[in-house]
Amino acid sequence: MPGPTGPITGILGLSTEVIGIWLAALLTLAIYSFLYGDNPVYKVAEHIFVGISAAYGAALTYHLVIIRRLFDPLFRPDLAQPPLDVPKLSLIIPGLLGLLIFSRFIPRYDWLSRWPIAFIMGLYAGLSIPRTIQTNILKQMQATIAPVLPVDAGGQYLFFSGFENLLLIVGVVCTLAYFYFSLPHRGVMGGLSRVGIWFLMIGFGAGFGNTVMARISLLIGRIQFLLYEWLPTIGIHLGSGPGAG
Amino acid sequence: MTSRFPLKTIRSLLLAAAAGLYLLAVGAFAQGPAPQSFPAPTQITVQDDEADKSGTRLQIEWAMPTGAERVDEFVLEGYRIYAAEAGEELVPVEVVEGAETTEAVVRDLWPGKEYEIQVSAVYLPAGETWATDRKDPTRITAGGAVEALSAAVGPYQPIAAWYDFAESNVLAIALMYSLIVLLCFHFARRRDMYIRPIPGLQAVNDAIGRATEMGRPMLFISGLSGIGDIATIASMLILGHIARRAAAYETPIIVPCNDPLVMTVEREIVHQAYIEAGKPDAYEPQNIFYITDSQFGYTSAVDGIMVREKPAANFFMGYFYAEALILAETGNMTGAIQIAGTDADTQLPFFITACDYTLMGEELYAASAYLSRSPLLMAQLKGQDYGKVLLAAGLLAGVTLATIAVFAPQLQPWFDKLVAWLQI
Repeated sequence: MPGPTGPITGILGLSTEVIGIWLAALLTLAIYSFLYGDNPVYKVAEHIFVGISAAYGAALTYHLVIIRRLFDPLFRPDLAQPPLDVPKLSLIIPGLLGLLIFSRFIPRYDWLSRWPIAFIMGLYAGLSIPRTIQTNILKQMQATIAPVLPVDAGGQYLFFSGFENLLLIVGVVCTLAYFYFSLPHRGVMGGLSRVGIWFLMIGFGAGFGNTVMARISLLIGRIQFLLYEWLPTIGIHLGSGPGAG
Repeated sequence: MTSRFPLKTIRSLLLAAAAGLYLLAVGAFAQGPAPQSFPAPTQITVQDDEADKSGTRLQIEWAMPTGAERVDEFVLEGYRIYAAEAGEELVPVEVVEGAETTEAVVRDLWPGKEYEIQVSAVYLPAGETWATDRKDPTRITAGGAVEALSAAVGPYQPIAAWYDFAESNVLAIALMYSLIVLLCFHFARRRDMYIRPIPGLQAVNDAIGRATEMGRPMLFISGLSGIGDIATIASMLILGHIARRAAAYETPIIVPCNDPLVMTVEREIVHQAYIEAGKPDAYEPQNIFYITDSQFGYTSAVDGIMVREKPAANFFMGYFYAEALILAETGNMTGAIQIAGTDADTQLPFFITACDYTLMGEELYAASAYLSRSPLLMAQLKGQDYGKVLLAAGLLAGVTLATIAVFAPQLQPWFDKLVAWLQI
């Protein structure tokens, strides 16, 4: 009988690690097969992915929300996290609101399901208004207001700093002009919005390049997994991989 | 002659020995009150944390025990804060590493309740490293730790503020904006208001017409954020318009959802649109369905729908994450006309490259007003526009003041006041 440090056997004598690598590799290849076109292998991988993720999400919600946040504090306060001396009765209100969602199964009372939805939408709107004003207006204004002719302690004009500040204010005002819907984009407004769209496109271009770079690194990670973790399980060794010391 | 083995006696002895060993072990490793030679923190002051307006924090300061840096072979390495409601057993709530740090904030308290506080100095054998439990950071796991507890002080109450004066600027902007919207609503009910043409929205009706002519369905995706997100709400208003047209032309509309609540609302919206179009029997609730809340599980399923159902028009409206390009690229591959709208600035470049038309940022919010011409939505859009004018004017005034203040220092206090007002 193998001791605690002995090999852990899985199915057909293969270690669970090898089985895991094979599953990951086959599912990766199955998803990549979509590049060729829709096919039965992709469909299998897609249905496994959707089924597992939906079931996992349901189980997670059941344990972390229904049991931990509602059932335990209400009916088993000693097991709640943190433990409570008395049941948290205030949770009855969100519990009832949650139950109202199920009224959709009874056509006569399905209007009751609008109550929790209205509550959630109102709550989010109330929470997001101050946050949006703080982060999207005040913080941005604060960062934009800067002198376009700045000088250092010795009274020397800081050309590049001034140019940056000028660029910033011109970019912000012109971009705002692009998103002004009450006037046609003609004349002065047309000129301002055209400059604004240039600023937007330069920003998007930088964002595009940055994100594509990140996606390529994800692809490299998958290819490395296939080359240096999966292939060795079928006896093909291409070296120890770029990450190996 | 055989004598009976005294089993009971030996078992009792063994049990007693085990208990003795256990008590010795517990005594050696327990974090308990220290002998008199270990000085405890003194001069403990507790006050309401002024930075916190919710009344859930207390700020604690104490003096480092005099001559306590090293006692015998033990070194003062940190402190542990105990707190509990007045009259209850004090429990550790915070640890502070470092003998020199003599302040801490106790969080997650209830406003208005009375709390007692105690501070202990934690001594470790010389050479022992400070360590706490990963799951319970208030538990010190370093071997041989001893504590010198101060006397309990209190009771103290964390106080919640009804009004946070530091956020008056947020209230002022919210009130000003509300006033502008109300005024705009007043005028919008009396006369039609101008909105400049938005090419992406003009293309919506063309896309619906194309799907109808081709006899193929349309696909509508309202992003991956929840029901409370502004982009999701804006996307639902657009869905209402598209569904009304779809109902009128009897063109099927497929709406896969990744949030059950969003699905519920979208079913209501589409159902209502079919009723308004006078075709309630044509409404098919099974076309609006939940897939999964997993980002890429949802994406792979929608990709599958695109290549199997071959919708003639794809609408991506709402907030998107990394799946944006995968969805838009697959839709592009199937030859569908694609119209996207999102306020996710990181995903906009992908929609711009892979879709026929893209509503950028605020254009998504303007879409509902543009399509419906409802006075309420028009008033909101006009309010946003006038808000932008004020914002641009404020920025230009601020930059001008900042620049003049460089050469006229007497204006500097005014500039400082402006910056202070913008401070969150």
